[in-house]
Amino acid sequence: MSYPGPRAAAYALAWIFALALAIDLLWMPVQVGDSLGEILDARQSESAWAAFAGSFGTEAYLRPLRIAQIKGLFDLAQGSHYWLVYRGFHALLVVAAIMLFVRALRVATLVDLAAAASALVVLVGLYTFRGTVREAFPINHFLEVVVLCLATLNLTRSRGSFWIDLAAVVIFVSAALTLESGLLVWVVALTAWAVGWRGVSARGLAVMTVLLVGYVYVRFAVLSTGVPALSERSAGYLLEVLDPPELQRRFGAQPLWFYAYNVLASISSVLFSEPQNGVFQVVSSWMNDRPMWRVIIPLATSVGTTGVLLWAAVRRLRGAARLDDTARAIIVFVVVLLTNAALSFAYTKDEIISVAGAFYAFAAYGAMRDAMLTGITLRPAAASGCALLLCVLATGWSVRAAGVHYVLRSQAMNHQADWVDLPGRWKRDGAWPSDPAEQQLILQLRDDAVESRFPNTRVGGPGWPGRLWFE
Amino acid sequence: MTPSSRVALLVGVPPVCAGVLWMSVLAVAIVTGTHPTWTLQPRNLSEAAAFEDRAAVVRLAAREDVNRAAEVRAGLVAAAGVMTPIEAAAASREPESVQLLFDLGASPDPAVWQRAFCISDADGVRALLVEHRPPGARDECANSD
Repeated sequence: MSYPGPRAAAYALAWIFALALAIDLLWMPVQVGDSLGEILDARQSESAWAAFAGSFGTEAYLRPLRIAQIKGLFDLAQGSHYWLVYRGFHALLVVAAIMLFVRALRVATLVDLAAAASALVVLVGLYTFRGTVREAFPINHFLEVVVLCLATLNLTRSRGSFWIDLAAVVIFVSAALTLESGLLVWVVALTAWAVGWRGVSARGLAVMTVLLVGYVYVRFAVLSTGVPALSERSAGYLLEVLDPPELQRRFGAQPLWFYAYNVLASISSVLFSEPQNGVFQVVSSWMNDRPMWRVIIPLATSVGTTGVLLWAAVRRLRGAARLDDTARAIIVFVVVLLTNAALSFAYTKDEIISVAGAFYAFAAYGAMRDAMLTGITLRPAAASGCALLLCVLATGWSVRAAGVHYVLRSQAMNHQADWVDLPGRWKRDGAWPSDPAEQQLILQLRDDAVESRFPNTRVGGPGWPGRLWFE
Repeated sequence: MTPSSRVALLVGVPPVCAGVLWMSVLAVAIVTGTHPTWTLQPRNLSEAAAFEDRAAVVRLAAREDVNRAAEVRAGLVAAAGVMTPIEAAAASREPESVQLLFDLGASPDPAVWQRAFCISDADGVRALLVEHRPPGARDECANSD
């Protein structure tokens, strides 16, 4: 009887998580907030190209491909299959993210496999990843940027060719025109090249750099597209969420402090899982007598894993290990984290920092592998302690990853309830559209949501999921 | 088994268990149509309102009278027994459910209205009920402040 090798086993485990996530994503309606308006805009737009061209000239964002993609999928739905195309695309994206992540790990041994399994639950369990699946936008572009950055990472680790360079350039253009955080594709390619992963050649990198300069010039000099203002949205700050007027009142005269807080909060949220969306949940839960397990487990697992990462980095800085793939992964992660956090200066949101989260899990793979290999060389007591610590960490991250199912089930019901309420609310507010075609589209999306059967996570269920995981 | 294999097993097993458990839960839900953890399904419109399942309210309202009283099982929500959907929604303290039922045509008589008013102390629910108060209905509740 033959057994699958570690690489095949890692892919098998990745498929289990990818399919579970994909099923959970399909078992959810498109959400109303930040979605319906864009779908209605897509209906009015003549074509994907018209949507692309028409999105230039906004005040704070330059995301033409984002709108064009929503329109492209809208047309693909052919007037009826909106749930299938939008939710299906989300499911495809999550499968792509998981598979690209595992591909980048290059699993070869049993220890690699164990580290890869841990890295997978780190990836899925991170709050930054949760944001990319719980929001059922027409297209979750945050997840799309994660996919594009992981694709770039895989390209940098290839043998390189003209086609690899071309693919990297196309990915960069697509990502940069989808979301601002898409610029991280260039950061990934550049840092990977600097540490010795040169699948994307200097020539390819030069073209990407020229395109980046062109992007900056067009955005700021030609189109005069600015950056998000304080008055645009609510944002977490210390222990509360501040609405735009309050943000304006507190930081309008001195926004730099708020921007600095956002950058530091973003970095901390990846390394320590706190704050979440800018709010320190551990302190807030403790002060308000809310369940503590759901904040203690994330904090403890993140502190532990960041500690292992730090240990692996310090070992290399002290010369105990050469510039190997683990060192490279850590360097790429640190650069991506700092850049991603800097790009999140305007407001803190877990999904905005999701690229850094994915690279955290990538770096954690190398560090966990390193800890396992080093641990077995220690004296028996220390070796046992090391193994136990890693096992506890893997268990904690597994609990966090499993919680994504609870989050998605709860979200499905929330999104469904929003659809139920929508027509009545809009009619009472005088916002119900007069265009019959628009009405029909809204009612069709609502029917899709209402006719789906979701488990009731609100009433009659056990209390432990709410104590263990945040909705 | 080598030391590295033992450590690998210790570290690798929890994530595998998480993945397999997650997939198994979904498989059970797909095959049986019921989630193994959250099994509660409303049997009538009143239960749908009591269980805060507004989509089920819409589905059931298409074939049931929105003013008809039905039994809400005991032990699942605070208020149980035979009650109308509007009373069940008020008991759940969800203004959205109450509003939805009025949107769907609920028209409580004065007695039902008073019971609904008194069963919920949620401000949003009471405000909505006051907006839809039938003639002759009283907002006086025994043992209330």
